[in-house]
Amino acid sequence: MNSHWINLVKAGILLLFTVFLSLKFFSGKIFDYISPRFGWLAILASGLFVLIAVAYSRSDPNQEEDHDTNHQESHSHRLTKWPLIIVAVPIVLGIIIPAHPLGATDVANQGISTDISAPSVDLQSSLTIIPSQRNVLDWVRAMGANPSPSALNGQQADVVGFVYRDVRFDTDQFMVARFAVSCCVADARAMGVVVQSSQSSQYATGAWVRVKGAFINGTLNNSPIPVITAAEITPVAQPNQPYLYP
Amino acid sequence: MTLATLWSQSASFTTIFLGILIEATPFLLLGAIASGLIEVFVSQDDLARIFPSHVLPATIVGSLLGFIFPVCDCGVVPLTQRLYKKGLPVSAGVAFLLAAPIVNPIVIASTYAAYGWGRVLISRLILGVIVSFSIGMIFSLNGSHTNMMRQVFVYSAAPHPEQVVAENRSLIKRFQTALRIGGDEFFNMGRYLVIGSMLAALAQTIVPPHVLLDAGSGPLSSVIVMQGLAYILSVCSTVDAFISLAFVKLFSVGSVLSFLVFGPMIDIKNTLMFLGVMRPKMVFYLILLTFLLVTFLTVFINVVLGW
Repeated sequence: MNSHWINLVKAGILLLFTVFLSLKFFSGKIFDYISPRFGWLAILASGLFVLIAVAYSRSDPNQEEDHDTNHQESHSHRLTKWPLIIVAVPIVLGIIIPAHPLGATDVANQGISTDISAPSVDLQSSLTIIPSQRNVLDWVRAMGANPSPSALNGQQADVVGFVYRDVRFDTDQFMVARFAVSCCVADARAMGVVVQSSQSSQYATGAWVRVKGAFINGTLNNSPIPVITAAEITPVAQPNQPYLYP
Repeated sequence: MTLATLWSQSASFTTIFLGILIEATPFLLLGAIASGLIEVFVSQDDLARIFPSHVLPATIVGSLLGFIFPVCDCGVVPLTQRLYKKGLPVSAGVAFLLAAPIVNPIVIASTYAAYGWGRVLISRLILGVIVSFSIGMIFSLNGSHTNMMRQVFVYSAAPHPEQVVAENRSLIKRFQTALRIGGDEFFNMGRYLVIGSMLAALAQTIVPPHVLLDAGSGPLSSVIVMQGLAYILSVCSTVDAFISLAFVKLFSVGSVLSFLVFGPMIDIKNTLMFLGVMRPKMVFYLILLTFLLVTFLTVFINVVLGW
């Protein structure tokens, strides 16, 4: 009786995992933590948790009618309560506390760059996208393909990202940036495109904006680099999926 | 440190912590279920049939056994412990423990997806077998099961072993038992996964990984940096090939290989899992020997082969 109740608690905790993973998956929030290419793993895990929960909830498969109940107690659960508590806590917290995707304040941890190593296949696919539909990642790859600072001159950009700046940036400059994640948070790296605008100071670091403008030959911290002269900057809401996935 | 910084650091910490947890949980679960299936469906006699009695070939088989088990470094600990209870020789178990996270089919597939068919993939596998075999052999010199493992084996929902394998159990009931054992194993190892993920997230908040990347440039220091990074990132071996792609521009192939070989074997999360089932002194030797051997081999690759 006692051991069956503990099994039901275990089943309950595993079902919490299923709820957590499913909630995150179907809301898209799980992709704040892992790349979509691994989303299926979360679904697989959810299914397996349900299977195990069912195995726990049904009657003990090894209990025989003539089995001595005292003997059963001696095989009783030496799995103490601590593993159950420790495992349950992050999931409860994860369900209650809203997701916080990586943002401007995480750049200090994760690093930011204006170029990104990409296999050449992805590079080609970025270049085939017409300029007005390219995102920040596509532009960074385009810059990687042709490092000359005037390579993108005249091309029109229309990108969404968060505002980032550090000591390298002049007062009328900022970077419109996104985090790129190829596997999971561990490899999340911010990258972006420098924007030049007289209205830069109106936009706080971390705010999400949409920037439209043309590329010119500019400089960042005295190094030549393609820069967008912003014709139009509009504040936008943080996208449902803030990361880009190379 | 202002309140705002503290708040944003906690938010970062939580994101990294949950990120490691979400990424690793499916693999721990698979390993735990595999462990349950082994407990129910593989007997001590089966194991004795597979494994040669002499220590050298047994250790080789231990290393190669990883090719058929799709478990990463989280899942391998409960599995190895379970095999030890079935009578697996110490050296074969250590070899399996270190090799399985590298030579298993899923890791091979993800390394292939990241690097294609080439020297990174092949070297990773060869180094994995060499290192695991060598350390397995070293442990056979003085290791016995009682020397290595802690006395507390925590099992539950596992009745007397003979009962579990008994012929008169229906297949459904045996599966149900396997799943229950897998569930218990998940909880047992899961607490180390949670604590390990917390420590890893903490380490990454204190020493931002990209700062480490700037630290090493020589043939030896880059290898040490790569292994240190592998340790604190604590990513499952099934996906670490993608993470390592970012280093290829900055580091030599030899150094990236040290990340790809050391990481699956030793990191914060599985250090905790080792401590949960093995004696601390043995865990220390395991980590030290693996670190030294991987360093030696990859520095050799850096300096002599010039990769």
